[in-house]
Amino acid sequence: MRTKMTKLLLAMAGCLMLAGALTSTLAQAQTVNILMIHGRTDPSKTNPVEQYGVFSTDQMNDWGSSVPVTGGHVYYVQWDAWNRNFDSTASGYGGWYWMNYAANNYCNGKNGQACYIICHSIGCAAFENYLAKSSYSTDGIVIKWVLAAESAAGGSELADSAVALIGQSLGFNTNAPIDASITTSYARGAYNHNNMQGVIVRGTGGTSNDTATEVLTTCAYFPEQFTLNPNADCTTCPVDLETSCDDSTVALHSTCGHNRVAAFENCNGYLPGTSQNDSAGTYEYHTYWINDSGYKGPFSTAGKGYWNSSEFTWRVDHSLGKTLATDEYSAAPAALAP
Amino acid sequence: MANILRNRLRCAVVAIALCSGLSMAADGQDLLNDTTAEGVVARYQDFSKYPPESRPLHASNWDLLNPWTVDTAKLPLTPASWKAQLETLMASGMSQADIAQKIGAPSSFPTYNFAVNKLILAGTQDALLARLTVSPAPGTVSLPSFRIAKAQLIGDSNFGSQNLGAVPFSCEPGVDPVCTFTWKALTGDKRYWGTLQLQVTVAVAGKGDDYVALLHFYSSPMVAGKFTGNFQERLEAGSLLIDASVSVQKRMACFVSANLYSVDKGVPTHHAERRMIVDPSMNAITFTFFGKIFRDNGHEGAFRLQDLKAQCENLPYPPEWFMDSSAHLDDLAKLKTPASEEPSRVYFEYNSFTFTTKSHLGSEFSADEWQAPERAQKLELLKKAAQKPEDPSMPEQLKRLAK
Repeated sequence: MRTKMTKLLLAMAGCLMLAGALTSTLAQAQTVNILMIHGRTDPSKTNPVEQYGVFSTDQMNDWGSSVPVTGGHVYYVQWDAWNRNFDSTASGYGGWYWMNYAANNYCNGKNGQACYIICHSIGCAAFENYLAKSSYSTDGIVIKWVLAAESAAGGSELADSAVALIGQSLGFNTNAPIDASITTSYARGAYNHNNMQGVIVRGTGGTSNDTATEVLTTCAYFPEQFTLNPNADCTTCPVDLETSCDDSTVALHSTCGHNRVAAFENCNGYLPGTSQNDSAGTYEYHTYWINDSGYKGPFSTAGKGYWNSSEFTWRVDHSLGKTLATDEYSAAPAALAP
Repeated sequence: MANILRNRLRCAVVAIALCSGLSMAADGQDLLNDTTAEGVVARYQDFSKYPPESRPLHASNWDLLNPWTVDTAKLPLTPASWKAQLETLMASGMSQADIAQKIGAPSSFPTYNFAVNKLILAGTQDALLARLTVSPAPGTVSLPSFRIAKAQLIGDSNFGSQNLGAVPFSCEPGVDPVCTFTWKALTGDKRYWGTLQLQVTVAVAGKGDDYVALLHFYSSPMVAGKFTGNFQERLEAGSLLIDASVSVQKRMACFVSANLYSVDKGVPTHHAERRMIVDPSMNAITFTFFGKIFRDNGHEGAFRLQDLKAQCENLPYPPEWFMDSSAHLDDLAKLKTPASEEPSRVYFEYNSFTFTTKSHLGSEFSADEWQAPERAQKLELLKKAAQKPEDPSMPEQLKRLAK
């Protein structure tokens, strides 16, 4: 009892000090930047072709009409996600190059900036690769968190198969040079996925692989398993009754940040020091959107309709995951997503 | 004035809300799973109690415990003509349902899997062993007899996806055919570098078409250096330091890693990973196994170093530009980029060296947290970033509208 009372008094004292500190530091406002990082996209799909860099408009319309609602600034990081690999250091084109450029120019805490990252598909591999290889502990970069929509950071079996299906759900019906880096072996071997520098990556793992429209990817490429307790939103393959949990382009092993290429029914979390300690194997500092200690999603109306609260997965396909991510950011409390 | 008052009031409300969060997190656990600005500070504080270059290692860190490989998936054994037709039909804009109707769906094909010893090869002595098994199509029990028509290696797309020649294999006789393919780079030639593709063509009895099985792996036939197998240990500031002797050929920016196991318990304890420039003038690379990790997990006795690996960035510019990229943004922007690139990674030669330390008492290790100036500086930055955004009244108003 005495200990509890002491803690309470200390907490109250801390509160008063914090309140004073906050009111006295209004003048030291920070700039909040939201970086939107697209996935595999054909730079020639628009006229003029994609400009690479960091822009305040979505030139490629990669994110559709969905724009995060924020009191900060939204920037689109446009990189060559067709001809260059996500870890390419090629100046002016590559994934690493533009992630490094964006972080240094828009997330520099020494300049009063802080970033929230929303990435999609192989764009998440590009950002994670940058972060894992960065000097985060010594540089001035401030990343608050990453919302990884349908992350391909763990690779896709469609790329392993070298079939043109890899980008089909995004409307690209041909192979692309970047596909060589979306294989499960390349994506997982390129960098240490655990080394997120203490920054939490919260993923949305989609389970909507519609047999009516995505006949070719259903029950063919992604890991399957027979289980007595399947995720009801995953596809039950009619022939062998095994379930396949994927978003038509990427399986849950990637979108949920699992550290093995295998069949998974759900997403888990591995946040050191917390009760999210997935012994089945999730990369460190990866978890799902969102089971924050203070904020429980989903927040958006659409998100509530897509959410599977027992499996921590979402009833979205690979493309719809982008809209889900921006909707969730917009509807989340400002303290979480300003 | 009204706005200032409103903002101050709002700030006080936020402060009270923060305080309720802090008191809730008196034991620390909740705050580490708190994505708000205050949680970000708390989590970095927790993360950085150990240095970035020396982290705890657990049995669940499968990828770190198996640093040269990745699980391989079971995939459909695709008829060669089907793949060609698929690409033509998709390019024409035909729907998946119509394509499936016309040429069949891959879910009805037999499946294959390669069981591999590794998927990253480093040097010319490192060999791939890939064991191919073919299984009946889902829902069927019998597999038509087949034979391997050919096995070829296809080079990296940056070098034009050249055919690098036949890959030797042997098949085990039996009801369920299993064939093993072996390959290693004959020389350090660039054409063996990058993402390579083992392409196996399977001829199935009674079928006019050939089927294709693929395996992608990464090969670094040329190396940046090698570990020589000599080690020296010492204790410094309550941490265990092991110097691994090296012979470096190229000056490069590398991620040099190793794992430490408790010999007595048989469990992994540490993953050390250094971000550094290696240079031919170097004789050894030092791995730090942080003292507090031993203390926090009750590890003592003898320890075994293993899984030594160095992955280096193939950069068309000095490694310093990569290591301190914020200081070289202009230099990087001025570079002319060629139309095609070389593969991104070069490794140190593969090795299976291990080193067992002498026995250590737990009390020899320090229980202190990592105390480096950069930790304090980073925390200070994160605390500043936890302050209010430019216009604190905007987000909530906008978000209310969005809802």
